[in-house]
Amino acid sequence: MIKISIDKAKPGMKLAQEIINEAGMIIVPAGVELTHSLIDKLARMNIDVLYVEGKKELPPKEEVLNALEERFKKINDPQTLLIKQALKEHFEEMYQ
Amino acid sequence: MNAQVVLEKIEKIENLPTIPSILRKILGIIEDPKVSLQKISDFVASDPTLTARILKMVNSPVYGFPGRISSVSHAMVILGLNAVKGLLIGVSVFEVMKKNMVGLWEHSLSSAIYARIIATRKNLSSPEETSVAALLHDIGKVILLITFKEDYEKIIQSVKDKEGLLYELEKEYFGITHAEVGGFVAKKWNFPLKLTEPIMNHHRPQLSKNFELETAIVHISNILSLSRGVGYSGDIFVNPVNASAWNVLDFKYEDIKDIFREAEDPITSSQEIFGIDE
Repeated sequence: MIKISIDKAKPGMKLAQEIINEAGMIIVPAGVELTHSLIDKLARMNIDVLYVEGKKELPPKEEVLNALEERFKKINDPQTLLIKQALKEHFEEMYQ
Repeated sequence: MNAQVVLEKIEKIENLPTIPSILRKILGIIEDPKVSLQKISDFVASDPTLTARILKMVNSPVYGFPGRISSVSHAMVILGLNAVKGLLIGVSVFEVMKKNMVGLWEHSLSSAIYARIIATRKNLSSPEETSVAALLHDIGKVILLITFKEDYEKIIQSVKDKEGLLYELEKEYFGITHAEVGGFVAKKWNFPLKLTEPIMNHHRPQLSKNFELETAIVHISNILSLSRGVGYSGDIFVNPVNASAWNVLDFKYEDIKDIFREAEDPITSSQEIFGIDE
């Protein structure tokens, strides 16, 4: 899920979260695909931000792994090193 | 400074000019040991900002409830009095966090997510309560920031200069750590032991006798959040896992990996939700 401002909304994007008006009422449910007319309507209703499906761009992998090494610099006990190893593998999977 | 001087000043925190008015109002309500769910419910309902914040929080991926919780009274029923009291403090201090310590709110949120996931895996009866304890585990830092801003900022700077751990440097300077300060105020606010013990002991979990597992969960959630590098807690280095907490949790390598994996989406989306429009 990514958060975008209404001016970045494009037809074809899918709502990841329902849109709620000021009174707390759901005006468009989650899962709906945006169209030109729907985007116009939302803009007129002063909806500024929406959540659409998709993934945020990840920072460069090198950078992430280097920062991880730096954070764990002082660690030498086996338990915390196990956490480090699991996290490294988790990062590797994220970048596949 | 010594611990007693610090605690004496914190004891009178309601009178400090730096305390946010919303927090002062909430403290007036929850410090009453006989406060009822109904009274808290009415109080929250009378304040639209507070209502919006509570509903936003309970509907966020931090808790991951299916469907939408649309009223404060519904939230109270689902979460129970203790979690709601904690949440009220949580949503009212995030402004202080955002203003005074950029990243602490994100660190707290992600710790709450890890704690909820672990508490659920461990079949605790109310994973939300332990999650709230994790959300508030660094409340002591907020209190120290409100009460001793300049001194505390110096300590945070010294973490970088000396390459030390924040709680050790706090102990050196104040004679007390943010964890103990947090436990102290949680007690003062009449939080149940299930919340105060994990907050108080999240840096020395071996001291928890009543809620050993809850404390171990908050302890490791803080470490997982630090490890993952979400937000900023004042520390730049990962704190080592306490051996006795590790035994209590009895995690295998795969468990840790699963927890990192499961937390990833809720962390990203909660950062989005609590990011720009506050």
